[in-house]
Amino acid sequence: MGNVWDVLKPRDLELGPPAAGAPGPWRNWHLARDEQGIAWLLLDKPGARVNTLSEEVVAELNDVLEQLERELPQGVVMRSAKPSGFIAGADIGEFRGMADAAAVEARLKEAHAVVDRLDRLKAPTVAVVHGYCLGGGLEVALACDYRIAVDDARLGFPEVMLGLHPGLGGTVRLPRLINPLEAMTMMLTGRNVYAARAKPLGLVDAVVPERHVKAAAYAAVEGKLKARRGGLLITLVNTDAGRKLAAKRMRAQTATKAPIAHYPAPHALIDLWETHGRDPKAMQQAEIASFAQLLVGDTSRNLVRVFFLREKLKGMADGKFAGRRVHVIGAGAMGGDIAAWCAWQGFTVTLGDVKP
Amino acid sequence: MLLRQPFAPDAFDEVILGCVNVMADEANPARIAALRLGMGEVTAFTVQINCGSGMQSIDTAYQYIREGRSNLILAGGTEALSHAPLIFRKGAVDWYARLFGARNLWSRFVALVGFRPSFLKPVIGLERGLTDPIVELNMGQTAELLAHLFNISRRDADQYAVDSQRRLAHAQKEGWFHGEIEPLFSRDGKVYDHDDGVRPESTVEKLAELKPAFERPWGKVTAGNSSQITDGASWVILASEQAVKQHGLDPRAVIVDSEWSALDPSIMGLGPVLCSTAILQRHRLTLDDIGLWELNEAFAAQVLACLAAWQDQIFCRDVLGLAEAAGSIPRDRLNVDGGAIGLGHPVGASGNRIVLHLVNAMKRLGVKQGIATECIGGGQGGAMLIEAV
Repeated sequence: MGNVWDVLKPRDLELGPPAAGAPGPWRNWHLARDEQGIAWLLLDKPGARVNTLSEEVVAELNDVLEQLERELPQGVVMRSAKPSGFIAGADIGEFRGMADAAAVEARLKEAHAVVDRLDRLKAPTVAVVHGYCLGGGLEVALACDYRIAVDDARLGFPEVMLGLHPGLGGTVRLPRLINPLEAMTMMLTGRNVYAARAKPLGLVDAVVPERHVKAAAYAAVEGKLKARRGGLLITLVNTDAGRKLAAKRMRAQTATKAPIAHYPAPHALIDLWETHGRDPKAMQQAEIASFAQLLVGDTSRNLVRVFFLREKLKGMADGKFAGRRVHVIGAGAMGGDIAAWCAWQGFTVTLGDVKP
Repeated sequence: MLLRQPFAPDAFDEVILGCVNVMADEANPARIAALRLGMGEVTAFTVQINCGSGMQSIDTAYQYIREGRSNLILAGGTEALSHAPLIFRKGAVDWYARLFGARNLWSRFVALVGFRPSFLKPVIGLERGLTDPIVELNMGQTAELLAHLFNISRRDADQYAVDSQRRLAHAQKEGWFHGEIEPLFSRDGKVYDHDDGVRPESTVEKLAELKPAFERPWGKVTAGNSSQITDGASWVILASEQAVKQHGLDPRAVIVDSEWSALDPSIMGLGPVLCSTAILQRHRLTLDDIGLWELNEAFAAQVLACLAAWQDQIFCRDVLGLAEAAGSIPRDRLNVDGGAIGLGHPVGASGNRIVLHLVNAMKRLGVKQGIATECIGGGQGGAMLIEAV
C-alpha cells in the first residue's frame, strides 16, 4: 500500500541472527548461530528471485552439514531469505538434454546422500517455509524433524506436470509422514496444499504468521511443539493389503485422466508405492531408477520443453514482443478471446483446433 | 462542566460529538446529548474517524472557530462499548426475511423448517468492529505485528503496562483527576469516584503469567498490556477570543495546530509518529521541545513501537524524511499519569480525553507545549499541538 509499509516490510521476514561480519564460505547458504546456540541456515541463491535446488546448492548443503556435524548446534532452523518463498523446486534446466538414465541416477544418488545426511543430523532440524515450497524444496523440508509453515505457504509436488514424480526421497518420506492416500493424491495430482490445510494433514507441525516464526522455531527445537506423527490410519493403509487395495483404485482413477501410454509417471508412482511401500531403503532405490527412466523418456522431455516455452513467453510479458503474427492453438472460449484480442492489437492471427 | 460556566447552556453555537459505535435508537448522539443537556436550539452533529473521533470533534470545532463561523462550541467524545450489539448471522437474517415474506401457511411452514441452530449464534459486533476488514487483522494483531517489526519483547510491554498502572494509581491518589473525571452514581446509590480498571498491585511477574489475548500461543499482546474495553465520555469547551471576552472566560490552553495521517491498516499503531512529526516539522520543533506527550495507550507494544520508530534511523529517513533519527521521548514526559491501559479506551471518547488531560497535566507541571496523539484503527493517526496560556 503506502510507503510506510514498504519501508517496514523487509523487516517482517524473520532471518534470525544477522550473518555477522564477512560473507561465509558459501555462495548460496548463510549460517549463523544465535545466543542460544541455535543455527540459522538461510538459503539465498545469488542473482535469483526464487531459490531452486541446483547442483551447487545441494553440494554446498553437504559442506554445511559437515560443519554442523563437527560442532553440533542446539538445533537448526532452515529457511529461505527470499521474500518470494522457500524453494520452488529442483533446477529443471540442469536436467535438460540428459539422455543417459545411468548418468541421471548417479547424480540423483549424490543428492540423496545429502538429503539423507540432513535427515540423520543429530540436532533437531526445523524447516520454516513461506511462499512456494515445491518439489525438491518440499523434499528437503520433509527431511527435517519439524516443518513450520508461514500463513502464505503453499506446499506441493508438481513433478507430475512435467511427466515425473518426486525424485529426492519425496515418494518415500511423504506417505510415511501423512495419510498415504492424501500423500499419493498430492503427488498424483500435483496440486498445491495451502498452509491452513497442511496442518490438519500433518504435513506441517504449525502454521504461524511471520511474526511468530522465531518463537515457533524455538518451541520446535526445545521439543515443545506437539507434532502429530504416524497413527493407526497411516499404518493400516501402509500394510501390503492396504496398499494393494488402494493402488487398484488409484490406477483406475488415474487411467481416466492420464492414460498410461501418454503419461507413464503417475502409474510408475503407484507401482513404486505398492511394491516398496513397506521398505524405505528399497523404495528409495526404486524411486531413483524410476525417476531417471521417466526423465529421459519422451513424455517428460516434451512436457519440460513446453514448460520452458511457457516460461519464455511469460518473459515476453514486459511488452518487448516484436512478432507480427500470432497462431493460437485451441479455439475455445479462451483461445477465441485471445485471438480476438490479438487481432484488435493489430496482429495477423490464425487459429487452430483439433475439431475445426 | 456546564454548571461551572458563567453562561447558559444555550449560549453554544455548535455541539460536535465523536462516537464510533452509534446505537440504533440514537442515530445522532450529538443532538441527543445537546437536548438532554438542555441546550435547546443548537445544531449538533456526530463525527466518526474511529479511535480519533473524540479528537476529530475538537479539530472540527477548532477549524469552525478559526474560520470565524462559530464562537463557542461544545466538543466531545463518547462510547458505550458495553452496549455493542450482538448481530444475527446473514443466514439467520435471510431466514427471518423468508419467514415473514411467506404469504401462506405452507410456505411459512417451509421457511420455518429452514431454521438452523447455528442461526442462534450471534456475531459479536465489538469483535468485528475491532477487526480491520481490509487486512483482516484485529487491533491486537496489528500490535503483534509492530512488536515484531520493532523488536518489542513481551517483558518490555509488560513493564510499560505496570508503569502505566502505577502512574494512574498515583495520579488518582494525588487527586490529579479531580475536576476532570466526574463521579458516577449507580441506581442503587453506589458512588464510583474513580475508574476501577486501575491495577496498582500489578507486577511484571504477574503480567507474565497471562496468556496472549489475540495470537496464541506465541503472541506478546495480553489483556494485561492492552487498553481495556470500557465505556466513557468526555467534553471540552472551545471558545473564540471574542467569546472569551464576552463571557469573561479563563482559557486553559490554545490549540496551535492539528494533523491527521494515514498508513497501511496492518501497522495502524504507528499513526502517531506520522502526524506528530508533521506538526513538529511545520513548527520547526524537535521531540525535545515538547514538554509533555499524551500518546494514547491502545497497546503497550504499540506505544513502544512508536518510540522505537522515532529512534530508528531508517524509519526516520525513509518514512519521515528526516536527516537522522528523531530521538527519544523520555518516559517522564510521556503519559505521565498513565492512560488507557488502566483507564480504558472507550474508542470514541479517548481522543477527547487525552487532549483534556494533556491540558490539565501541562497546567499542573508548568509545561508550555504538549502534544496529544492517537493511533486509529483502519490505519490513521491524529495529533494536536497544545500551548499553555
